[in-house]
Amino acid sequence: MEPDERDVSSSDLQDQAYDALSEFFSVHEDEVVEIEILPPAIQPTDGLLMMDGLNVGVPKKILVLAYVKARQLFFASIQVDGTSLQALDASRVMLLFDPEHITVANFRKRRILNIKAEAPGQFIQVVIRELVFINSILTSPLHRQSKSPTLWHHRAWLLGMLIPIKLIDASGEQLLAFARAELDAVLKSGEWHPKNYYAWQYARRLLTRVESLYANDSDHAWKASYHEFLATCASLIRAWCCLNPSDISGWTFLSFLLPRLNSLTSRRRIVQQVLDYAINLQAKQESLWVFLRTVLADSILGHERDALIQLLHNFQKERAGAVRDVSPENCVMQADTWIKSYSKELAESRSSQTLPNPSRS
Amino acid sequence: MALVSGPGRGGMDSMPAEMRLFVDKHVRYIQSLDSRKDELEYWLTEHLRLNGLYWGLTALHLLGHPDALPRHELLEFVFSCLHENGGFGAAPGHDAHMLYTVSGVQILATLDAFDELEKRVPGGRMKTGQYIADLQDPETGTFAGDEWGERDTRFLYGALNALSLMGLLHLVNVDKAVDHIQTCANFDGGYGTSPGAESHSGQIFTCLAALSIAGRLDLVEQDKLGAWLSERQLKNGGLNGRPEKKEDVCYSWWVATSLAMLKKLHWIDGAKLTAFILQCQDPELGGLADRPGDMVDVFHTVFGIAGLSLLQYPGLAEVDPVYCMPRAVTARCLSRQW
Repeated sequence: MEPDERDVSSSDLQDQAYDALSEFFSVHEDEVVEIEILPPAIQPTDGLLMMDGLNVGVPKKILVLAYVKARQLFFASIQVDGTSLQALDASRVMLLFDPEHITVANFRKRRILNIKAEAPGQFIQVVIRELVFINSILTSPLHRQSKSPTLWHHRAWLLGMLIPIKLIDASGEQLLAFARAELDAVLKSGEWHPKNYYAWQYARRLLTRVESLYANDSDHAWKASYHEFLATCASLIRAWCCLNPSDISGWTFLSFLLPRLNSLTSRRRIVQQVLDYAINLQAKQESLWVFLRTVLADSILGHERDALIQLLHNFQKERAGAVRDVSPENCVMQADTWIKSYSKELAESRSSQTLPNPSRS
Repeated sequence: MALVSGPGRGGMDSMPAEMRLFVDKHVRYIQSLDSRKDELEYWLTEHLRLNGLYWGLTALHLLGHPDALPRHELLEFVFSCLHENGGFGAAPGHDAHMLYTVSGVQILATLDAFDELEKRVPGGRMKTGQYIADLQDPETGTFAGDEWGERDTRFLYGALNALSLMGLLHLVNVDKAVDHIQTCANFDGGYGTSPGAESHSGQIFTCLAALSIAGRLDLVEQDKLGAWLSERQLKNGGLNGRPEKKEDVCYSWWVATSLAMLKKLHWIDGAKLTAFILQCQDPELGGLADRPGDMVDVFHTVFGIAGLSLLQYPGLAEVDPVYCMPRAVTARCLSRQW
C-alpha cells in the first residue's frame, strides 16, 4: 500500500521538498556540507529549506515529505534500470533520513563498482564524491545519523578504494594526511554523538589498515613517518579524551592506540598525563577511571606501570583518609581494587624499551 | 553485587498498582502496529520491518497471547521477504542480509512453519542455511552481514542462532567461530564487534549466547565479566550498556540475560530492575519505552518483557536466555529430528 497521494497539496509539497533537498546536494557534490534538522519553532521563509552557504537547515516535516517522494522514485526507478541516475539522486535524501537503509547504501556501492568496471576514467572522482557525501551526513549535527553502523561501514568499504588512490603519491604524505583527516572526522562525529561506537570502530578499522600496509613488503617513503604519526594521534586523542572525560569510546580508542606506540616510555607518558589530570581535577568520571584501571592492570606499560599504580594508590588512601569516602561509588577506590584483582603478570625481562607490534593474546 | 532475584509469586491481579504489567494494553499495542500503514512512521521503519515482526511476535508469546497476530498474514509477509538465494530482506524489495534472515528464521520457528517453507520453496530450509553458512569468513571464523563484507559478532551470533534452530549448525565451522569470539575478548572482561573493539553489553550478549550454543561458556572469564556487567545497574534500578550511558530498558535484556548465562543474575538487584522495567510502560496506549516517560516502540517492548520473564515476573511465558524466544519454541526446534 502506498502513502496516500490523493491529497494534491501534500503531493506538491513532497515534490518541492524533494527537489529542494536534492538540488542542494547536487550543487554541493564536491563539498562537505553541514545539515541540521530545524526545531518546529524555526521555519524557513520559503517553507522548505534554510540555506547559508554550505549549511542547510531542514524542518523535520520537510525531510519526511522529501523522503516519501525519494522512496517512491527510488523503488520505481530501480525496477526499470538498476543503475538509474534518478535512483542515485533519490538515494541521497533516503540515506539522510534513514541511514540504516542498507538497500539504498548497497545500490550506491554497486554503482561505484559499475563505474570502476565500465567507466574507469570517472572512478576516482566518483569515489571522492562518495566520501564527501558520506562525510556530510556523518559529521553533521544529526544525532541518529552520526552514529549509523550502516554509514560507517559504507565508509569503511570505501576505504578499500580510497587507500590505493592515496598511495599513488609515492612519498605517501597523502596517505598519512588522509588518515589524519579521517580521524578528525571521527572526532567531529564523536562530538555530535557522544560514545559513538561505530565512529570509533571505523577509527580502529582505519588504523588497522594503515598498520597492515606498514607491515607489508612495499618500500614507501611514508613508512618513515609512521611512528611519528601514531605518536601525534595518541597525543591528539589523549587531549580529546580529557576534554570529553565521560566518553568511554574515546578512552577505549586511546587504549587501542597505546600498545601501537613503539616505546614503553611514550605510552607511560600519555597515561601519566591522564592520571595527573584525574588527580589534579579530582575527576569522578567513571569512563576515565575505567580507562586508567584497565590500562594500568594490563601489561602494555611494562614495569613503567608500577610508579603510576603507586601514585593512584596513594591518591586513593589520601582521599579515604581526608574525605572518608569509602562508598562503593568511589571510582578511585574501585579502580585501585580492580587493578589489585586483575593485574596481568609481567614477563621477567625488564630489558626492552621498544616492543614489537602487539599480538592478540 | 547481591540481593533478590525478583518479586513475589502472587498472581498479577494481586500486584500493587506500580508493579502491574498491562498485558492487554501491550497486546493491543502490538496488534495495532500493522494497521498503521497510513502513518509515516510505518514507512520510515521499513528497513527493519521483518525485525519488528519478530519483536512483536515474541512479545506476544511471552505475554501469553501467541495467536494475537494473524498467522497467515505473518507468513505471507515473511515469505515476501525471501530471496532466491535463501536470504531474507527487511521488507519486499529490500536486499537480503543476515539480520533480517535471522529474524525470518526466528519467526518461522515460533510459528512452527518450516513445513510451510518447504512447501513454498522446496529445499527452502537448506537454501537459507546455506545462505547463512556462505557468509562465514573461512579465515577468521567470523561472519559477514552480506556480500558487502561488514563483520560483526552480532552476525556470528545470528548465524549460530538461526542455524541451530534449523538443525543446520553442521554447515559451518563452529570451532573457528568460537576461536574468533576468543579473539574478541577484551582485557576489561567484555567483548566487542571484532578483535580489539570496545566492550558493549549488546556485543557481550551476542558473544556469550554464541558460546552457549557452541557449548563453550567455559572459555569466559566469568568473574571479571560478571563484575563489568553488574556495574551496568544504576541508582534508578535500570541498566545501561556501557559506562556512563543512560539506563535503557533494552539492556534489561542484554545485560540481565548475559548475567543469567553466567549464572550471576543475582549480582544485580532484580527487584529494582523489575520496578524500573514496569515504569517504562505506557499504561494508556500500551508498549514500553527506553526509559520512563519516553515514546514506546516494539523494540523496547519485547526486550523489557523478555527481561521481566527472565526475572520471573508472574504470568509470563519462560524466555530462552540464549535465543530471546519462548523456551517452548526453542526446546521444540532444538530437539526436532529433521
